[in-house]
Amino acid sequence: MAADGALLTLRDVTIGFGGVTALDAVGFDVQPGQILGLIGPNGAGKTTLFNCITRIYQPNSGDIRWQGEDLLRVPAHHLPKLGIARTFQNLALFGGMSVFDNTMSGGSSQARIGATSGLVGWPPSRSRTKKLRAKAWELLERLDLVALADAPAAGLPFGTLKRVELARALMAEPKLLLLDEPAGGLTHSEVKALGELIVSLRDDYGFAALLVEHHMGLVLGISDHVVALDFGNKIFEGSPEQVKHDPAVIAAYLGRAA
Amino acid sequence: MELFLERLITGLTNGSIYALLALALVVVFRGTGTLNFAQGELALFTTFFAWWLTTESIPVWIAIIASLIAGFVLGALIERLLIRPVQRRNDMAVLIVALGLFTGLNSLAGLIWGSETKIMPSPFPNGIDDFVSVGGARLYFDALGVVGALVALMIVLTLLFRYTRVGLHMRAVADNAESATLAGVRTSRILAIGWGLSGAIGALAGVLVTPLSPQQLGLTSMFHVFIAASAAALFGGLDSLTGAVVGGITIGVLEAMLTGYVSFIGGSLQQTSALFIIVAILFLRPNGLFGTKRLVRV
Amino acid sequence: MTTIDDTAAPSTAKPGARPGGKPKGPRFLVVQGTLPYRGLQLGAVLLVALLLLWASGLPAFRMGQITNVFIIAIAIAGLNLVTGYTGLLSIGHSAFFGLGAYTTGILIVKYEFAPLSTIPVAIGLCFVLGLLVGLPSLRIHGLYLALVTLAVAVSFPEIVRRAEELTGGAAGMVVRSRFLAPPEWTGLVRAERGIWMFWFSAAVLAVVMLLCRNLVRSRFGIAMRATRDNEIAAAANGISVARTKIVAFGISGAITGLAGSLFTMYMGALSPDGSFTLLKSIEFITGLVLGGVATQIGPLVGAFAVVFLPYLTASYTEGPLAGVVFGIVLIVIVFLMPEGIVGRVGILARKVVHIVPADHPRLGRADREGPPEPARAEQ
Repeated sequence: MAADGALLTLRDVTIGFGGVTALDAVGFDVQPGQILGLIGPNGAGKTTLFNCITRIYQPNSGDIRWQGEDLLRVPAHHLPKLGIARTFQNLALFGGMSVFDNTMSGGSSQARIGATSGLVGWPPSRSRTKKLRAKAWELLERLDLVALADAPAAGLPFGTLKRVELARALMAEPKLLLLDEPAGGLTHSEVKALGELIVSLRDDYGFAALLVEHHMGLVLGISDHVVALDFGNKIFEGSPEQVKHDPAVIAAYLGRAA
Repeated sequence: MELFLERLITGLTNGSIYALLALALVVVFRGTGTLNFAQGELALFTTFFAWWLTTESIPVWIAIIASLIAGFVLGALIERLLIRPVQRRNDMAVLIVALGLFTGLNSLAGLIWGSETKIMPSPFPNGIDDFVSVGGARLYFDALGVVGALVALMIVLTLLFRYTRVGLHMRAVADNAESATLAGVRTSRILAIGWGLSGAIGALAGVLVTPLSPQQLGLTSMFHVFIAASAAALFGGLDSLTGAVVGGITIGVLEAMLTGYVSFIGGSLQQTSALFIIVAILFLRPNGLFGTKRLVRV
Repeated sequence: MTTIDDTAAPSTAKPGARPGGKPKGPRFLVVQGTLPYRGLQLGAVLLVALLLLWASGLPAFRMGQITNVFIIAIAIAGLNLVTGYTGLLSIGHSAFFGLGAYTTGILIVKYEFAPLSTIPVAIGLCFVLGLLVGLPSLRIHGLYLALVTLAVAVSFPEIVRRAEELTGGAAGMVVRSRFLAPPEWTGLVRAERGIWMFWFSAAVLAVVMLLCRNLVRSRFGIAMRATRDNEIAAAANGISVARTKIVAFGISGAITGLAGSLFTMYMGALSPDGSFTLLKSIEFITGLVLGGVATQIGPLVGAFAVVFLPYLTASYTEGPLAGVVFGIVLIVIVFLMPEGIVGRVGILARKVVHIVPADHPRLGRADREGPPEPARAEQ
């Protein structure tokens, strides 16, 4: 744990691509159980920051720490084991598998995946699988997906698939859930329902969430804390109430509107 | 010294064949983003056709031109009827269709014209005495002809892509098919032309290689050429014409030198060498030596 | 029969009854682990046993063909793991087949191994080769990888021809039938080698199918399919894509190599240009695609088709009609039935019978409270 109990700490994160500085000394904390909204106009660097945290990009300088430990040494596929799960902007489900199997895949970090034990049906491995299956059913119930458990993921409505992605992410029992533009492609009422779902899941399971989002209604509605970026710089950090009135944020958005 | 030159000439000749077929592969790749697995067998088929024409007392040059036309038509038809419908689905579907073509065309050639070895007449004078002396080595006319054909084709293709409307359209479609369509390019026609063009180039490669090869024309004639050509095309990341030519010549010369100077490798380990070249290139640069990186959007 | 009840209706509802408003579902629901399910399983096993017994009574030639089918089915089952379930197209499996075959041949002829004891060696070598071939798949994808495997397939016969000392070169190698006699404990004599190979291949096939079934249903199976469908998402969920690919290739190669081993015992003669060329790889792929990629029984169905097709076509013409038919089949399947025969049958079967896992949360709850839930989530 970091000294002040923060789960995720970013300090002076800087990254550039071919002469363009995408992030310039960005820093903030995510506390346990907190929903933090990351906003900013297009090109502000939100996705870049997201990708740094999820280890797709390596920052040029700066520090990202997870519970006090350096996260920048960790490869992407170790994140779930550490307790960090993510969803994808355009959904990255496994089209050839059922909803149930998609959910089960989220538990891949929870137990050793042995090919040999799989091949011979090794009992200890099978009982681990059984426990994961029970967990998967529990999550499917919670997310109202039981009736669709056997349906192939490909071909289901977009909104349903968002819930499947959440189920999959929650299998990893994350302490931090990274949500990449979860409201994208949803109707107004769907966004509202999603927001309520995220908060209720957070209340039940106790994870923190970092939400990269364009949809102001969602961000201001469910966030405990908001960080705003513009041109790679952090221009605001504070409560959802405050961000509405902050001149820098307003300028960033309105200034781009034309 | 003469031996070295002779080997070099052999290498350049073979390399030109590989380069020719590699150019065909690049043209298709630029047009549709796929490697045409059946390129070699399509060339085989059209070469059998050309052979058959020569047995019907048609002069070699005319038979060759006929096979180029046949290659063009077949290539365009294949693109239109078999490739385009499955392109959208997934990579594996296209590969399976190409595999189907691979075996289908190969066996069809055998079925129609018989699988015994055939002698393919050369379009160039290829008698024992038809050579020119270069530094003591013999530069046969047919070898010269092959290299000449390659050079001519390179010039034609460069001119085509750079100075003609069709070439411009092809480049547009290769870059971004949707935008090209919106800009008024007849994408559908261009795709078919692209495959047709590569079918014709492949046909040329086929008719030029068979007279040179000691095994002449048989069902397995194009296997090795295809593999070497693929390796060559990869030199340029499958989308560079120059890369393909450089690759082809390099592989041809390398093979000739290895065969000549490294005795235990010998002729029949060519395939394995090409394999290692392919793996080495792709491992170091998964998109080819000069290729452009593909972005994966999630 | 049990019903799965999504509404508050009591579980005394008649089997197959559909509460009003529900969309039409399968007619029968069978729960895994229950009596009807075990009954179905037993029935299937009995059916297979009966078929085998009937087949063993056929004339030697037919029995030999069917033995060949079993062997090819094992090879295709191996291919299925890496191509069907992990999504890595391999045109090089003829090399594994050949390596397994020649390993067994050489060990029997030159080192006087008993045939059965060559099997672990063949499996081991092919596993290692599989791991090696799997390495390029870490950096190389899709058609580029297929190209690498193509080159492997084309190189194998070359290497065999070169290594004349060991393999007999282009002339091939013969394994005298006295070395291939059935083991003593079977009570069969040398002349009954055909019967031995029939039952032995059937048994090996059964074991292989069971192992593959276990693997696919395990968490490793999920890792394989996740790698196939979306590598980035797989990694984001904790799956080591690299390890999955390499291990899948290893196991896949080992199984196809096992088939090769059996092939030597069955044929008694090997030649590099006979059954170990690129065309064999294409045969495997055709069988896989026709039978049904990523299905359990597809390899067996595909093997039947692929073994008997050349015989059917040979009766029509001289010449390589089989290749033409394979080519046409591949193309037609992609267009009309990409899920293959077993895949298509499976889709139809699922309209009639739905197999429910034993841990499904809605089984037999007569006392559900709360509002009825829709059978399909409305969006």
